[in-house]
Amino acid sequence: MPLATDPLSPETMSDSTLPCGRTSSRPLFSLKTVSRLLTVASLMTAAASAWAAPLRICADPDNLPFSKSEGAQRGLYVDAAELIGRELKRPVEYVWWQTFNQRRALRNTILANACDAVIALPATAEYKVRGVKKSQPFMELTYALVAPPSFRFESMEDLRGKQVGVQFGTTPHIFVNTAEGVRSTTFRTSDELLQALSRGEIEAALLWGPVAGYENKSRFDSRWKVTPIAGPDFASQVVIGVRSDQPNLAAEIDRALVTLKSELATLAQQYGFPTGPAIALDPKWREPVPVAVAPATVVATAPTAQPVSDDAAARAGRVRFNSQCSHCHGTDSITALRERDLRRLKSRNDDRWPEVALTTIREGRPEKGMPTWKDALKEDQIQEIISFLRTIQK
Amino acid sequence: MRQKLTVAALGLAFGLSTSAYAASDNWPSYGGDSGNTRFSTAKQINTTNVSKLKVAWALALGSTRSQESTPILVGDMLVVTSSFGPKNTYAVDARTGEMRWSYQPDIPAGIEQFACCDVNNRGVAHADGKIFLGRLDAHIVALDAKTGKELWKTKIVDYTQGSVITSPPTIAKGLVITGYGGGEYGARGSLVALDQATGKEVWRTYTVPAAGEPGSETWKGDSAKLGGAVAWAIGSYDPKLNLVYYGTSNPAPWAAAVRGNDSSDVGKYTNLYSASVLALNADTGKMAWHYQFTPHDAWDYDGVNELVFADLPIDGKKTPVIMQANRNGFFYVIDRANGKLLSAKPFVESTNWATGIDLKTGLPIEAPGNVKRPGLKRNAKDVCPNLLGGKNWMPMSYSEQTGLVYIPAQNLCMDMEGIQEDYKRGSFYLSVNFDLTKPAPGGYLSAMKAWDPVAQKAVWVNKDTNYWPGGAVSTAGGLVFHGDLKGHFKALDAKTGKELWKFSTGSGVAAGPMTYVLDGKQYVAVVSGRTQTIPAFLGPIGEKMVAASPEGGTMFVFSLN
Repeated sequence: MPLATDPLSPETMSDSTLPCGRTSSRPLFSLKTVSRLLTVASLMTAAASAWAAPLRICADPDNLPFSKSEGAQRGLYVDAAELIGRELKRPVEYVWWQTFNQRRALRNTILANACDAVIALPATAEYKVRGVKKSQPFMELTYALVAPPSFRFESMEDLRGKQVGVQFGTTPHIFVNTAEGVRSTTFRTSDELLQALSRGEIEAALLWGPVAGYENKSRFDSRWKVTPIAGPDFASQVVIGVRSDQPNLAAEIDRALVTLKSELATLAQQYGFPTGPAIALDPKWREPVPVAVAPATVVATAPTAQPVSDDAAARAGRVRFNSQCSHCHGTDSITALRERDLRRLKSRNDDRWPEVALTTIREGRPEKGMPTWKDALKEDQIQEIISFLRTIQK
Repeated sequence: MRQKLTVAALGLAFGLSTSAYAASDNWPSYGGDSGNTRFSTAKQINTTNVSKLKVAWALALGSTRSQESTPILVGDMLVVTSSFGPKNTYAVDARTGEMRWSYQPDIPAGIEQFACCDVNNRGVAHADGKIFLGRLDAHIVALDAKTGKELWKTKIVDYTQGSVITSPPTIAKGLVITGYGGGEYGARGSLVALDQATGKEVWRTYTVPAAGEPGSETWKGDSAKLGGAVAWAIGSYDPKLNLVYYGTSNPAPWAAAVRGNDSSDVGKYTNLYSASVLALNADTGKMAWHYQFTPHDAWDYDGVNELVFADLPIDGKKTPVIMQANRNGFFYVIDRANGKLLSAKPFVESTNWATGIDLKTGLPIEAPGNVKRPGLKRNAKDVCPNLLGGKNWMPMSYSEQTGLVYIPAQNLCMDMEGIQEDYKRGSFYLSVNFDLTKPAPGGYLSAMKAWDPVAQKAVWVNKDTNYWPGGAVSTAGGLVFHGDLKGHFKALDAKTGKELWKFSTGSGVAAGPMTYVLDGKQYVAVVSGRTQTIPAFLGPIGEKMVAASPEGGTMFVFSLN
């Protein structure tokens, strides 16, 4: 699924639904009856909207940038809840509960019928809560690299030899401490981490993107560049959890989320969440890139000779692929999702496959979530990726 | 006996420490004596008459969550704590339960989020006319034993780093010594000694070396900085050797790949001094020796369980030892003068993360091929024991009468992957990929085991189909007392394990009981109140635990008449 901030995702704006009580243009009844019906209908409408059951949302009272029970900035989830309430034409009420113990929080809020929906829960299929139905994913949250704008970060190679700060117990903490060539310093809190960056004790910091972006914007005058990091370990989608006994609400919320897609993206930007192309941190990055070898199935009588520089191109292409593409296609395009498995390009398209790949990379497949890359990648960079793809065809 | 009471009272009057190692019919500290044997010489209640034991009086504790306290006898008062702070510390007349004084500190709101595993409290310590206790906000407090008035308060560490204090401190000469929690949050462990009179810090010994210090080379990168190895449980003190003994917790972070090789080929990255027993000189805090139970731990096998003193015949010689039933399923016997490992055998037979402990090197012989070692993206299956351990904090007892150790043992295995998905703001989900409820062979979830520490084998085993057994006390009356999850409090024949008496307290009993003699009458006391947080880790087994008894908080005191 493309990032919420992907500018290429289709924007859908549904028409707001008409209030009930609107009659058709051809009167079926006498004018008197119609006006009486209208009066009754509009009274009902007024009454309906007057007593529309509040939408009760559970959230953490002290969890900026996501939610806060008081203060000028209420947090992205609270703002999102207001938008959803507007779409559903229901006032929103909040049930506050600290979420550091998520099981207890769920048990005491949504599962105790104290609220109707909780924002937000992990989208991952492994995460299940009995009694809670998950909406469609509405946002992707990622880790991010925070660094001065002058710090070059186009791939994980750029971290080699640099002093990188990480927060204890986070995925990047594990990543940099198991990767060769990255000097890391560990801090207990995100605040200590950003202060160290401020003082120049570290050259870059890896921490949770929403926190990084929000702090950068609100406390550090947006002095840093915050780059999102992609990859299964570093990015995760979130959903809204709805009580299973409210299937109508779940469907309504799903519809509202589609409607609100761009407004949610705007909110994320307002809160400083990292935007822009994500860099993938491949846990295998420290392994030497193998010399490009033509797979055994390649027909030796292919008329076009391999370019002399193919090895170097494939190497570069692999690095770029694993940086830009692997978060959907998998590292080295090893994925269980057949439709994304680019090792099958040749078996699907025969000898036309490099053409197909070229076109698809340039133009994208927006309806399927594949972004358009022709503006983001130079032509020779796309060719390098294809050189790499050549080495992995089945 | 009246005579003993006078001596004890005189001791109090002259400020003599009443916690000597020798067992008595007094109960001056958490573990009965400074060696935590939990053995009483009292024999008025014995195998012939215990069936007549009845409630003398009871005391509500004012909180109904996870009661873990063992009361102590101070003069003619019992002093007991509740959970949650402790929310309440009560000093009551030990004959009648009449309230003498109580202490209710202000505990900061929201402290639960800093207590990884519960907001419990295991009791107080006493010396020199003062009661000492540790609080969840990581302060040690001294109270006047007669009035309960707060005399001084010292901050040990910042509790917001996850370091709550849940155990009573240890008395050693004129000092009061404590550790704190936080191993799950990356706190750096230390043991801190305060002057009993003033509360001023006298020494602080870190359990994880700083960069450049000896032992720091056992940590990869800068992982020692937030290396855990906290000493959150009970300490022992040998006045003759002048050594204080504490066990340390797991190293941090859980992801072993950050701090070492993430494999049984541990090499130099043993992560000292995590999952170890430390012997510190009581005056200076300097480490006299250490022994590491679980090098480069990947299972959360805290080494914090109590270190129980005994004089055991080793190679024909009477040797002062410490014994520990470790979380990792092994029963260790160590020379407490020099730290030499004397023997180590599994006290829970399903233990499989290691096939044995090499006595020459002191190192575990791990199951080959990392098959039982969780690691980065490596899911180890059916690893026994699970991280709650072959024994957890619930205390064991060593009877010098039978020569047996009475161990509240546990028997469950786990699947575990060596990575902990971290808490991310906005996607509130702290997951550790583990299943702690894999069945273990043996047909029981917990048991009271009578263990011969010399032969290193069980003499009798009382199996329970419930998990989370109660701590033990043993007496010269030939009895062992302990509770269970259902709330039963039982007296067993120490030689055979036969149940001689039982009382239903109405809520799970995990805390260690105690016994004392006052005015020639023997009493047995235990605190009842089921664990609240442990069931949450145990899926359907946890549901059974919650169904086993309601939560509660009451101290029961029994006598014959």
